[in-house]
Amino acid sequence: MSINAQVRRNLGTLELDINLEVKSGQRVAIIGPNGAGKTTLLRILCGLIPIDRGCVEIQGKIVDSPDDRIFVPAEARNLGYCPQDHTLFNNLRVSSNVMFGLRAHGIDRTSAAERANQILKQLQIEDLSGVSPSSLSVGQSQRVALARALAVGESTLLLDEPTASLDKDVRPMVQQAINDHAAKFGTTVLIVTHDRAEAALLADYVIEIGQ
Amino acid sequence: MALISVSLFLLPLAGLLWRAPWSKFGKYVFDSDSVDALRISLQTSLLSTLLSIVFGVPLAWVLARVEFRGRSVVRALCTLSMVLPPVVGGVALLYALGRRGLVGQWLDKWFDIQLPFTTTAVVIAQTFVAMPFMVVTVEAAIRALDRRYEETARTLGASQWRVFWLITMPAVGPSLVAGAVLSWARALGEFGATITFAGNFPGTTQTLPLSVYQALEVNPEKAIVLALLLVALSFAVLVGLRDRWLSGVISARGRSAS
Repeated sequence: MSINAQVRRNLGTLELDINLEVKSGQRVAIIGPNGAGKTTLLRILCGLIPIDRGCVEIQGKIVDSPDDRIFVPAEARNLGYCPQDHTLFNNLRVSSNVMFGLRAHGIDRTSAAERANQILKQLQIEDLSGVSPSSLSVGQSQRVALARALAVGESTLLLDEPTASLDKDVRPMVQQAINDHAAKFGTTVLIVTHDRAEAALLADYVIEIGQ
Repeated sequence: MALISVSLFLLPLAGLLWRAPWSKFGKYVFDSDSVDALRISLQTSLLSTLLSIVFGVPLAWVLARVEFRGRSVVRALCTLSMVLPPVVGGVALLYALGRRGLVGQWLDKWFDIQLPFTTTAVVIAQTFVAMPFMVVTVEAAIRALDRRYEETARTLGASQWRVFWLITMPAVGPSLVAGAVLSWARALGEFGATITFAGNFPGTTQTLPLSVYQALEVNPEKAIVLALLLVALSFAVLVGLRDRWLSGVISARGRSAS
């Protein structure tokens, strides 16, 4: 995965100039102050913000290059994105939230339900599978959002503060689950975090971006 | 002030009730003309509500989400019939779809289809005046949606179509119901465009409002009874739906806020 891009549009005063190269299967943590563009970086990779100049490449494939008129839309980028604000779908139950991406990728209901259940178990929230997201605590919805991203994020995982709103006592378990997932699938992982200890735990190396 | 406005709505209703020939109520309501008019009214208004949903929702989505030149002109065009006198709409429909109309002449020549003065014409006239209520309501709801949910759904691999059905539609559901009720109410009350484009033929195009109008000239007592029937019908639907639809709107707001 590599990104070498400039973005000016849609960001108000923020201008972003990024150069980042992540080898396949590597785990990288991104640390930086608020407003440095960490979330923007993930949204660019997801295909939610098009770049103005440069090139974005994921899994050896160019997904955004204005000069070559290439732009692969978000739904075709095949990665697992866990947004900072969770954005769980409140009209669907927890299990259906986790199944959502699998179903969108054409996996049949039974296999998708099985896989979703596995991941929920791994994150120790399988008892919530029939619940509506609107009744979850912040920490619980964080874990559901992570589960939803893990379900489709076997090759690439983009995690925006994935443990920020977790209780201290479940945090190590969730971090372990992320590591296990990455080890099992050889996943390329990009984690935005505030916590240096967590960065050291979850990533092979840390990149600091400034204002 | 509020009392004055309530009495503005209450007085005409009281006037109807005061003059209502209660002893002949059943006779007029179950008279075959009235039953036909009621049946036609219900059938056509429900059908035009359905058409307003099928065609109005995609239009609302396009107006809310697709940026193109002349969007405000298209929006104005599609909601024009809200402010247009219905008779004008009827005349316009006649010159578009009538036997000598812009499109109507070809329908007649090639397919042997004559729309005016048929029940289909009633549905077209009603849809013409009712659909804007659907479009305006649903467009506002789609604009007010928190787009992050749809964005997340897309990153999970969902096509635009899938996002629309599984994420957007459930979120605008309450507004869709509100729009449907408004459209239906407008269609049920439709008079001007219907009488101009579809005529006033008992059994085919005479809806309840048209039969009230006709009865007023020959039998005012019957007109009052039919008018009360319309009032009761509309009132029942508004009261019946109000709570569910209001609570729906409130919970939708809570949802997007959380």
